[in-house]
Amino acid sequence: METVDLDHIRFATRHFNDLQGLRYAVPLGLVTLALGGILHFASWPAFLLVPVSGAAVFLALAAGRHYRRVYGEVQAEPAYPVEELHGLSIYHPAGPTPRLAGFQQLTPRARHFLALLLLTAGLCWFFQLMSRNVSVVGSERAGQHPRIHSMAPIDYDPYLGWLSAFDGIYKPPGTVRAIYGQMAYAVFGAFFLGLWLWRERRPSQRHDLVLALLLLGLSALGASLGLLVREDGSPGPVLDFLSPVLVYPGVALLLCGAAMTLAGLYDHRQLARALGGSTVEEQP
Amino acid sequence: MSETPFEQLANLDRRVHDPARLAILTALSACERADFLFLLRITGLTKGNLSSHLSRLEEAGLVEIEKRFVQKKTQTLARLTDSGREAVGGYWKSLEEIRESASQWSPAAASLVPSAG
Repeated sequence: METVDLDHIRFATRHFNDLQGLRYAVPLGLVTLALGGILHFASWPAFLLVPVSGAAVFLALAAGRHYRRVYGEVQAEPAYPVEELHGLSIYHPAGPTPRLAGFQQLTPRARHFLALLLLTAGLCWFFQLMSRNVSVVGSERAGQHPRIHSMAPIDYDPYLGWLSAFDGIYKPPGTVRAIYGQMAYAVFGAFFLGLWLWRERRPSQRHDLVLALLLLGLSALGASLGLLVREDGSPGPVLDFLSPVLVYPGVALLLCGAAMTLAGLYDHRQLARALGGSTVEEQP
Repeated sequence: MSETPFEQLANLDRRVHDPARLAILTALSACERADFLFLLRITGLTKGNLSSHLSRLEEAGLVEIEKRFVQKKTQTLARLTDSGREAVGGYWKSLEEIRESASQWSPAAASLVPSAG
């Protein structure tokens, strides 16, 4: 047995619960895909979300049972380390820090993801404020290619123009929908980035980093559309080609759902490989 | 006088140094507790071997075994005791010291040390 084998054992044990892709990521990905499909395709009725959500819940429960039956159970390390809760209070002259009864602190993992989400949402909002307002015309469900045009005057100053966001400036519905799509990229991208950091930035987990960069990149690009349009207010050929991905929330959710589903399937494969065939050399 | 790397190696904690037990202890050091089936899958040991190693670790006070009934089936859960965590940490520290002293050790330097008696 080599150190690398022990390292695999430690990693697979520590991340046994979050590597259960069929239990968490795949069901969430399927629901997101269905939502994206409903927004994007005119032929997909809204009530499709009900059976897909039911199937996702069923899959999550069945997968949980499968993992327990085939691979066993692991109780993760305590989320609330004792020293974190009481380390300072016993030395404090005022005694323990008062806490609301029954109100639990956020776990380190939740804090980690929440910080990333807030940071990404903040950045996305900042991009929106800095960006010139663009109008997006076109119906996603009708399969129209979006037409993007700048609504800002030519002498717009992006360093001062963001102040107009506090004036309750009107944004057309197409632009608001585009912002929803960009926020979806930001949220899912932040999730994958958080997952990669949570899993110790290992080379074996680089798929999470690739997905994070892809989605966060699309979010930043979409949010900066107003800054990237030409002087005449129209987008260039490359931006025009990418515009459905950048401004249609249905396409954004389809991409995010596909990313989540693929990541879940890959996690499942990793877990199955880690727990399927490792052997320890036995001493006679 | 400090020990040679070989002497340090010979003095490693035998309860932990065995590959199978080290695999079990490494898995348990990465979680609060794990059940028998998981340890079986992650270490690749047979049921008999795992059971025997767990018993030895429990006798040595490194592991705590808990049995409970879940849906009319017995579930065996294992967790590392405080002394188990210390033993695993100490083992890795000793290995690191051996690695360091082995990198500085040379036969010529060792021959200069007067033998005892």
